[in-house]
Parts: sequence; structure tokens; C-alpha cells
Amino acid sequence: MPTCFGIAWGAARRRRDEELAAELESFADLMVDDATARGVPHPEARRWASQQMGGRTQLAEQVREVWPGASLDTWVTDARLATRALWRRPAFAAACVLTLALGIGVNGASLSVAWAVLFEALPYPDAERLVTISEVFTDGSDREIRAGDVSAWTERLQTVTAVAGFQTADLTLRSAHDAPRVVRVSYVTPDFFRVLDVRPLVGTTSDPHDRAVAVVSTSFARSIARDAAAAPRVHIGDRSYTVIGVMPPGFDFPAADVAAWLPAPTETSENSGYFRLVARLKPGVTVAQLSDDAMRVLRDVQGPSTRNRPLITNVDDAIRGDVRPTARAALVAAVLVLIIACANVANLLSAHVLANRRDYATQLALGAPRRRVIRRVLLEALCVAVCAAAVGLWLAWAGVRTFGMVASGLFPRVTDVGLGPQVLGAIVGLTIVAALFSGIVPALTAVRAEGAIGASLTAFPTLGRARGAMIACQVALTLPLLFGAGLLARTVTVLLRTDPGFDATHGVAAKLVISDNSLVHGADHSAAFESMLTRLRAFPTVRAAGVGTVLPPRKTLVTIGIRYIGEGRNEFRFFKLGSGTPGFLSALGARFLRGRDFTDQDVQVAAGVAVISESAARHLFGDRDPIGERINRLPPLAGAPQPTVVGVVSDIKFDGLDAPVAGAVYVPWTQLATGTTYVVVRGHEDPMQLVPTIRQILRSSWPHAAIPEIVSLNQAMSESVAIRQLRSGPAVMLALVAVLITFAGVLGTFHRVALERRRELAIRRALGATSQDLLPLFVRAGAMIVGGGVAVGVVLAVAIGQCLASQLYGVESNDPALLAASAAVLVATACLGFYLPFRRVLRLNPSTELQCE
Amino acid sequence: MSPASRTLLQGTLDLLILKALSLQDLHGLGVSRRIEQLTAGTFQVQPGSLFPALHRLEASGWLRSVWKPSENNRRARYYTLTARGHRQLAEETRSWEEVALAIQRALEA
Repeated sequence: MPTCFGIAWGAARRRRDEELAAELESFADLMVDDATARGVPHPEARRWASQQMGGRTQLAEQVREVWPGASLDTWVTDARLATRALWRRPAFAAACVLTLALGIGVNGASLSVAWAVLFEALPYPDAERLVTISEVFTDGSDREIRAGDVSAWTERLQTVTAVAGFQTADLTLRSAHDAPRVVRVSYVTPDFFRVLDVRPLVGTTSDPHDRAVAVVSTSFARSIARDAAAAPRVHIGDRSYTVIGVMPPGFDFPAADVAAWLPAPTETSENSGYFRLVARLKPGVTVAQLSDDAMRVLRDVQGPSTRNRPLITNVDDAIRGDVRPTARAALVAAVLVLIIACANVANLLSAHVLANRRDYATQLALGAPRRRVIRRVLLEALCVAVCAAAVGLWLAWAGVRTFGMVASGLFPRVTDVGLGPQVLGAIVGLTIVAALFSGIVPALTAVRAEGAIGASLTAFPTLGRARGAMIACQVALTLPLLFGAGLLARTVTVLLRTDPGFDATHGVAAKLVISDNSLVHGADHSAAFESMLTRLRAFPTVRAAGVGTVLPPRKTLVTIGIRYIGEGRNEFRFFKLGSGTPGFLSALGARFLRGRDFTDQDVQVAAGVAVISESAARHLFGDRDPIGERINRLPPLAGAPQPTVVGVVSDIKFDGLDAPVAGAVYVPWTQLATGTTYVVVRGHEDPMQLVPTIRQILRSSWPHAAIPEIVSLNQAMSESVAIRQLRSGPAVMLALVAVLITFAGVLGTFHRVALERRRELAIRRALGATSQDLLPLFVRAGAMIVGGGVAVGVVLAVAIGQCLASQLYGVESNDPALLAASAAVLVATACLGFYLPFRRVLRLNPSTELQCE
Repeated sequence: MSPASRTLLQGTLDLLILKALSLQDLHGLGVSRRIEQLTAGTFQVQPGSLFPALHRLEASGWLRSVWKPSENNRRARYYTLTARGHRQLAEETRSWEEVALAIQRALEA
């Protein structure tokens, strides 16, 4: 379409030009006729006429200026000249375009991520009024609301329009066609969908008559379509539900992977655990007001002496609050890269302008207006920027795609991350800004070339102050990027080398979900585990095997708070509990410091034994030998007597490599059983070789249970660092891009400097100077610039370190060694950038050089 | 000619061209001759001023042009005043008279 327009425009313009020429010609002829009629001889009349007419080209040009669209014409001409100038030097143009494309690309990708988490609205109407409510215990830990209290809360809260409770669980989905699999469900109280104010895509969300109904997610609806086609029922856990509604895609509360929302049991007799509340604030009500209201309800429910506090969290903050600082940091880093890229292109274009300074000087001398020269150079920059935007868009698209794959499951609402219209608009804006930034210095350089018309090429200043400043600026901005990325990367390596408290190298764990309640507490189920473990242990490659309810870092210990009243005390004590069969702790690779693991005799409920962790031993018994001691403060579990300590193991980092350890009490599996268990197997060599065996034995022992995953302990543990890797990966990439661009900039600029000075260098060499004599010439120029850049960069780097301090682990935010290393990398890169062009010029033959001008 | 008088002339030239064409259709040289005649030789419009002005007035929609044979049978571009051109002439004449009167009063004061 634009091409058609261009051709039509060109044709119309040509026709008008021809007509103008004819008009001027006819005017001249009429003048001659006039003069001859007055008796002037013909040749003289002609001469007189052409004298009167003046320069016909200039006259035509003056007329063209008043034509409509005249300014567009000159713009088109200038744009054509600009593209032609770049086209003639493809390597130079490619360097400019690629540099800027990297800058625009990283900005596009970062903007996509930042837009999704900072500005994109959640798919709930007035999402800023949605909050979750839970309790904070005196030890600062966040606890949910007891099932029995939920109705009291929903009735008494006055500052909300609606409130509902929800809890999530992993349940087994059984179908006629496929193997059982685990789905995440959310049990919700009746007002749940009213609070969130989202209508279902299909069907309804409430059915007052039938308790066993399910509202499902779009993706889950698709996956069960084959079964549901016959009858819209799903069998989840040990119950069958009628599907009454499908929620729209993007409805992801309380979690993105929730497949179905099921009605929460209403009878309090059912032990249905703990609920978190989600509420919609009345318009105009602040979180502080709700907090007071919730405190009042808490006192009503738990008595006036309660020391717990309500915890109100904005839903949006809960979902995306964690990643916002990261997104902001990514945006800042991307903008820095773009500035570096612009400075670089500005330098390259300046060099280009300087190389053509005679042309510009000639144009100016012939009367070209300065603004026209400035415009032409700016158009060159714009041309570079537009090409760069095209490449950059592709890079951004690739980046967003990669991010979507890598960050899936780690990053909230990762499907929101994309090149939306806002991001595309921002890229267009950035392109124009980049063109201006990178074009203005070269444009001014071109205008200043006025005096260069007769100047010899060697007489021009070698490295202008502006170009030097821009290199220094690149160095100064690259250093903080490099240092910041170094800090984040170092955090990851430190964490990955952290001792998790157990030997993760040879273990593998299978998650086994046996959600049916009847299975969990039956005696036969212990026997089933026992026979399964016996079969596993029979394999020669298996060193140890066991079943437990915890797995670092996937499933942490259960916290139990116990209130002590009497003897003048009223206090809470917290125990972190885990359970397992004999062999579980050994299979996990926990180090036994004293005593022993559970034995088959301990499994008897009456035995009442416990294995405790190092810090629990210190906490409970101080310096005493804990073996044989009774844990008095722990209440009886599942009818067992208060446990006696039989062993002490190392502290295990259940909450991830970056979390502090907590003292743990392990009891035999039978005393603290749950529907989700982990079968842990320790082998001799590569534990993943055991996976087929484990899967087969688990399948035959538990044909109705789902095995959602089998993972090596090492991998599971390193996943606790995954979000940090997600942060450090792009940071390192950005830093490398910045270093690369800076290198290209230094190289490009000094390449030009070396070319400009090659005659001088040739003369010096012809007079006997060696490379060693000449090297300082370059080093001195370079050292000033890089030194200045590094000095400013160090200050910026320390500031960046301060900003990142909260995200670091095991490394100081101003780590001097890392700072020195970053600076050294940068100085080395810059030196290479100085040295290579210099070496190239020195390899040329001085005599040929001297003859060439 | 000083720059001040040239700016004055810019508006005057448009007015003179419109006036010249209000009597009959003319080609470029005809316009130039007619202005010379109307102003009793005070203004001699050079091609460098005439053509940009003619084209500007045509772009503004006050003139229309056609190619036709001249009195001595040469093909020439003839300019005609459009309806809008007539209105413009009337308006410019009125404003010119106001300005001229004002300046005259100022000078006599």
C-alpha cells in the first residue's frame, strides 16, 4: 500500500515538474516575442529574456517550495539519501542496527514482563478491593482460619461486601480411560465466586440443591471432555461431582493450577482443616479499617485475650508482589542497556559523519540550511533505529517466548507476558527516542564540519570530547550491570553449594497421592507400604527406601502450635513435625548424629518414639544427651504416648536452600499420616536409573493411586533456587550484551581514530618509531576515558548492590572482589577494543600509507 | 529594497495579481505586464516573485489554470480567478483600504 502511494506520488510530482518547465519555457518565448515585436533583434531578445528569467533551476525550486506537500518531498529526498548512505556501508550499518536492536530487544522483552506484573489488571472487577485474611501467630508465622470459625467470620465482618473461605488440596482424578492423575482442587465456601465477581464461561457457579457439584477451569474442562461428554460428572478423590460450570481462562484464584472448585464441607464435625478467607472490601474502606474489624472478629472468636493478629493481604500483592521489584530492576537494566547502545550508535554515526565531513562541508558551503543537514543525519539515525526496531521486535518476541517456557510455574500469570499493543507502542516510542539520542551528537558534528572543506583528513581532531564522553558513559553504565549480574549469579552458586542438611546426590523421590480417606487411616495400608518397601529394597541397586510425609523443599514440616495455660503461664509453643516409615530418613540422606532410625517395632502405635533434629535437640534439651529423653511438651499424637527420643539427625533445609533451618521432630508414619506421601529411594549411582523400577512397583502396589512425579532429590532441592536463577539468568545476559556493545563501541571508535591517524603513525614509523613507542599514544587516550568511566561506574555499582541487597544470599552487596573482577573484565574488554585497531594500522606498510594521500 | 518593504510587498503582490486577473484571464507574462500597467510602472514583477506567487495562489484555490494558445499562437498557461478568488480579492481590498487609511492617518497626525 505505501509503495502504491509512493509510485502515485512520484508520478504526480513528475507531471507537475514537466508542466512547470513548459510554463517557464513558454514564459521565456513570450518575452522574446514581446521584445521582437518592439523591434529588438532576435538573438538579443533571447539574451535579454534569459537574463530576466535568472537561473531556471533555482526559479523552479522556489516554485516547488510553495507546492502543497513540498516539505514531504524534501523529507522523502532526505530519507532516500540517508538510506543510500547507510546502504553503501553495509558493515557499518549492520553494526549500528545490531547494537540498537539488542538495546530495543531487551527493552521489549523486559517491558512485556514488567507490563504484565506492574500494569496489567487482574481479571477480577475492582481487583484492588480484593484481600485475603489469615492469622498471624505470636511467633510471626502465618496461619489460616480454623474450618469451624469460618462461618463466624463471614457473619461478623462488617467492612466487606462479601467474604468466603478457601483451601486447596491435591486429589486423585480417576477416569475410565486414563491412569489416575493428581489434580489441584480448591474447596470453597458458597460466596467464593460472588467475592471475586467473575461469571462462569458456561453454566453456573451455584447450585443450592446439590452439594456434590464442581465448577471447573477451562483447561480441565477440555481434558475431561471425553468423559464428560457422556455425563457431566467427574470423580475426584473419593467422591463424584456434577460439573455445573466452567470458569473463563485466566481465572486463577487461588492458584493458576487449580482444576476444580468444590463446595467446602459445611458440617464442622468433618475435620476439614484450615481455610484462608478472601473478601471484597466495601467501596471506600481501607485495609486498616478492615484490619480493625478483623481484630474485633478475632477477639469474638478466640476470646478477648488472644495474642494473634489478623493478616490482611491484597490479592494482587499476594499474586504478583514478589516479582514486582525484579520486574522493575529488569526494566532499569534494560534502559541502561539501551542508553549504552544509543551512546554506541552515536559514536559510530559520528565516526561516519567525520569520515564524510567534506561532503557536509560542501553542502553547507553551497548554502544548504543547517537544519537540513541536521535533519539528514537524524534521518540516518532514524533509519538505523527503525531497522533495529524490526530486529529488536523479533529478539523481544523470542525473549518473551523463551521466558514463557523457562518461567512457567515460577512466575505468576506468565501467560499475561506478551508483546501487547502497549508494549508495541512503547517500542515505537523507544525507537524514536533512540534515534534522537543516537543522532543528535553526529548531527551537531556534521554541522560543525563547516570549516573542514579544504582540510586534509589527517588534520581533524582525533577523538572529540563528545565521543570520549560517550565511551566513558558506556563503561560507567556497563560496570553496574556487570556487578549486579555478578551478585545475583554469585548468590545462585553460593546457594547451590549450600549444605541442605542431607545427601541429595543419590536419592530419588516419588510423590504418591492417596487422597481417599479410607486408605489413609486403614491398617491394611501400612501393610501395603511395607510390602512395597520390601520389594524396593530387594533390588541390589537400592541402598535404602522409605515413605514419609515431608520432602525438602516440596513439602515442609507441619507446624503445631500448643498453648500452655496454668502455673502463671499462657504461651504458645511451636513444634515442626514430620513423619516417616523406618528407612525414610536414611533414604533421604539425613545424617544420624546420635542414636538410630525408626525400626519396625517403633511403628506400633504404643511405642511412642521420635527422632529429632540437631537444633530441636539443643532447643529442647540443651547440652544434655537427648537419647532416651521424653518430649514432655509434645501432645500425644494419634493415641501414642509422649515420644521418647531415639535418634538425632542433621537439620534439613525443608523450606529451600535460602531459608533458615528449623528444629524438627520426626515421628513414625502411623502417628501423622497424610493423603500425600513421598516414597524416597536411595541408590548407589545415578538415582534416575531407578525411576522405571520405582514406577512399576508403585503402580502394582497402588493401582488406584496417582504418581504425579518422580524427581531426583538434587533436582527438587535446586528448584528452590529456580526463581533466583530466573532472576540471575537474564541479568547475566543483559550484562554480557552490555559488555559486548561497549566492546563494539570502543572497537568502532578507535578503529576510526586509528584510520584518521594512520598517516601520522606511518610518518613516525618511517622515522624509526616502533610499536612499543607508539602504543602509549593509544593507551593514554584510552586510559583517561576508561578510567573515568570505571570511577563513575564503581559508584553506580555500589548503589546497584544496595538496591539488590535484599535479594542476595552469601555475598556482600559491595563485595570488593566481585567489584574488582567486574572492573577488570571491563578494562580488559576496553583495552582489547583499543589494541586491535591499533595493531591493524601498524601492520600496514608505512611507505604505501605515505603515498596514498 | 529593504526587508521591511519586501514583507509589505508580499501581501501587495497577491492583491495585485488577483486584481489583474479580475478583469480577464492572463498568462504569466500577461499578469506581469498588467501589473506594470495598473501601477503605472511602479511595480515590475520579476519571474522569481511572480511564479511562486501564482502557484501559491493556485494552491490556495483562488486561481485556476488552463493551457491554451496565446494571442500570437504560442501554448501558454492562462490563470483564471475562481469564485473564492473573487471573494478573496474583495476581502483583501477592504483590509488594504483599512490599512492604507490607518497608515495615512498615522502619517498625517
